[in-house]
Amino acid sequence: MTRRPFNPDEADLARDLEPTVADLDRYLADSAADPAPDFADRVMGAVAAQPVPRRGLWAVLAAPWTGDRGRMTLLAATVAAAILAVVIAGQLPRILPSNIGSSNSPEPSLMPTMEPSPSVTISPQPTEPATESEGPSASPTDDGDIPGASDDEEGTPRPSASPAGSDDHSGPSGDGGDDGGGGNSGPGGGGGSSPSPSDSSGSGGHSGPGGGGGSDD
Amino acid sequence: MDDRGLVAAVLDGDHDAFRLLVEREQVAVYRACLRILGRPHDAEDVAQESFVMAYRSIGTYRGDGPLGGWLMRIASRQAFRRLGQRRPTTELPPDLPLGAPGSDPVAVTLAGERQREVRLAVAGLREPYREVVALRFFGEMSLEEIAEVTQRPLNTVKTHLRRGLERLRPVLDREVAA
Repeated sequence: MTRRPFNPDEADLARDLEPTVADLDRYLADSAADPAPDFADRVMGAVAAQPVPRRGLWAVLAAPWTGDRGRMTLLAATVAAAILAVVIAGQLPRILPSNIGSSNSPEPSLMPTMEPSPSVTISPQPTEPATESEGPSASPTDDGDIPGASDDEEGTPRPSASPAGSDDHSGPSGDGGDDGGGGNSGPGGGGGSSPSPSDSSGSGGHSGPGGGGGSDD
Repeated sequence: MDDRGLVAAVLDGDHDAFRLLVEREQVAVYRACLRILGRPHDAEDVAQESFVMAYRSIGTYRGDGPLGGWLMRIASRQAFRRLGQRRPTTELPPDLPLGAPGSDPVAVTLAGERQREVRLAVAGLREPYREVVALRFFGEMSLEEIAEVTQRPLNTVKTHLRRGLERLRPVLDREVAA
């Protein structure tokens, strides 16, 4: 175990520590003595009076994992744990409740339809929705869109009682709701209010196809 | 026989296995004790105590680092403990190097005094710097072995060694100036 002289690079020492290291090295060189020849016999004489040492708790716990046989045991345990983990992962879909992940997706899609309620489209509304809401056929189409009921609950503007159900969908898209702009009803309304530029572009900007169709009508 | 096999044999009651360990490590352990204590008698005494203590507690050896390093750590702790129990004395230390016949007695005396200063300066360090400096210079262990035995990261051991030496420097410089 002799490691002399000490190399300052071992510990990235600064140059100004070299004299200190030299002092220590000199001390080591001057104090290299050996024990008495019978030192080992005396130690063994003292050890003979001692009881056989017991294994420590750590040694008992670690014994199955040490040595070549221990490594094999450790490897086998690791493989077994991995297999068990794979099996448990395979059983997860059965173990977990089945309704996890079946969230009703329409709800998020409703929110965007609520946001755009351009006030500009109010002026054309009274004429066209009036004609549509007269016929009872408007309500069946609304019933088809089940989320429409929730739209009413969330406090969409209710200017009048009777056309309210149809206004949620046909209101903003009054100009082009029938043209299939149902989903993007808001932008459709916007398209209606700006007649000529959005028409020329057709699918331009926010107005989208619905907007163009609405203005054409 | 490797360290683990040796420990297993000792735990099975094989005294010859422990003798192997004693014969293998006695010089290093004795020298470390001598460098800490400065007196051959005390060094032999503490080295023997350390071997007996290692025998009794060899079941707790976890295999972290070489068995010799584990033993060296026990010995250095025992030696510093013994040093702390010593009463201060003004007599000339009996470990002065005798030197060759005809050598200058003044030079021999000065060299012995310098050794004593180095020894006391190291003993005056705080832990963990003292342990790292002692294991590296008195036990002649590598920094990697110290890191394994003390279960500290190698960079931490380097830092402890560097700081220990930085604390030693003014003490030793002062002694030289005096």
